[in-house]
Amino acid sequence: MRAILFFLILAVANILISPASAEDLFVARILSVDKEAGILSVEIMDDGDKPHMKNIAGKSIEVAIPAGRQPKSLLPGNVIRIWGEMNQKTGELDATHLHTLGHTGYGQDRTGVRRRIGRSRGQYGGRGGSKGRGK
Amino acid sequence: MEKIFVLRKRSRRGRHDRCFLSGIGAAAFFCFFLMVPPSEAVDLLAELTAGYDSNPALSDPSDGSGFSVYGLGAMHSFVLSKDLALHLSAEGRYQDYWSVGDNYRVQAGTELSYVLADGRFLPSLIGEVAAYRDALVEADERNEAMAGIAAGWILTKRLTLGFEQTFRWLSYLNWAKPFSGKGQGRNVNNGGESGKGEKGSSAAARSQWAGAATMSGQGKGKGNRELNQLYPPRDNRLMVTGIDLDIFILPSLTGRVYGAYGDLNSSLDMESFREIQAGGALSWIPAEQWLVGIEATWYRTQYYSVPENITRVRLINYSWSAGLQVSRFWGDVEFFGQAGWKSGDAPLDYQSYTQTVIQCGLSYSF
Repeated sequence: MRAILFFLILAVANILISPASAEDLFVARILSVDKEAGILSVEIMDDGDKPHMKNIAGKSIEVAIPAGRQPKSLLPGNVIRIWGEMNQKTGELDATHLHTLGHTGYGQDRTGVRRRIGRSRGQYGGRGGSKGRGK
Repeated sequence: MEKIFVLRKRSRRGRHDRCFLSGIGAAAFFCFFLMVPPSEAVDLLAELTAGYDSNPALSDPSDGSGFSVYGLGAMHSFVLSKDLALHLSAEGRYQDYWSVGDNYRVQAGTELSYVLADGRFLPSLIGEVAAYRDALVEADERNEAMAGIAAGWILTKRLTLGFEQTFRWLSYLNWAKPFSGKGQGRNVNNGGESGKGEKGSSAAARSQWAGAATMSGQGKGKGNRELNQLYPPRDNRLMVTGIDLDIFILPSLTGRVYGAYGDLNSSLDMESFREIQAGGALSWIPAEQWLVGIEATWYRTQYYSVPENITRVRLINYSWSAGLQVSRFWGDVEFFGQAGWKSGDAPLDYQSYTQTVIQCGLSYSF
């Protein structure tokens, strides 16, 4: 348990000393996916928080995703969240993190935290009998 | 002693059966996913883990054991129309304990999701079938089927609300005494045995195990008779209602809080319970290619159908669990280390238990 406290302190300290991020958060609908090139074509659904990202809702832009960071099963029509920074030269959104909405619900793992941690103890039936008789 | 020998022999034969069945299952699993056209790529995951579990049976006193885990998973999505998608998944996981009995779980799931509200609301029908086998606590061996509904709703740019309502049928395979599952207070080496494979012969199972229960030393006092009888394999129904809120705080920091209410209706009344759980999780990316995950959960379990003459069962039990995971990625390969803790009340004989699990491993998604 001390380890968890230690990492929480470390996370807070890291966030406090990091320079202010230029990244903005967008909610967008996928129009097309080019997995080879690592490019998504998306329609932005909400304005960004940064001053130059106002009035961007409804526009179609391309999103460049670094190799190895594409979430699995990106499909046209999916709504995703994108942390990224608009590249003024190319007009592309350079994404740093993507989060999908799909596979919803309490038992799922949108943050990625539960995938193994929960498995070793078993949440409600779903992960393998750690507490038995229905748990 | 002879009775014990007979049971061990049966258990060894059962292990061969299980290996055979799991082999068949693995073959069927790969055949299914290889039939998908190459143009529609299937996401596959292979995982190898090794570690140490201080208390695999969640009992007190505990016998720790090293272990290795072999896991395989596959997932594929089909776009049925502009707004309708079908997701299929299958997963198998074998946990090989080095000094106590192994366990494995195979499961297949499906989700049919439909896009509403311009993509901001995603309701789904979900289903799952699973088989869990455990050579350490045979009372936990079961087949499962689950059906339910789930939904995800983008409230704001930074918040997503999730909801899930599931109905899970748990069909246990073995005769067992009450509260014989993991973390319920019955020591697996001292009276927690189950009558494996005795579905059709109750008299044989009861007579075979009556002696063992008496010799175990457990079961002195009020309500002993009920607690030391073997009962037929349970046929349980579990309803779970859960909500969660995902919070996208910073590019490097995502959080989640969740709560759930579960109601287990057991074919053995005294094992029925209602449970509340609440928890939170943080996912933190401290540097490029690194990921740290932290999660903690609290549980309150109330056994509401224990007969009044049984005084050896604690009706309200609390437990908690926490975990920490650090991952480093190299392309499709992930190396991870994890520590997990669990501590709680076991209802039988007012016991309690603690567990620490340390593990590390490699995961490859392709």
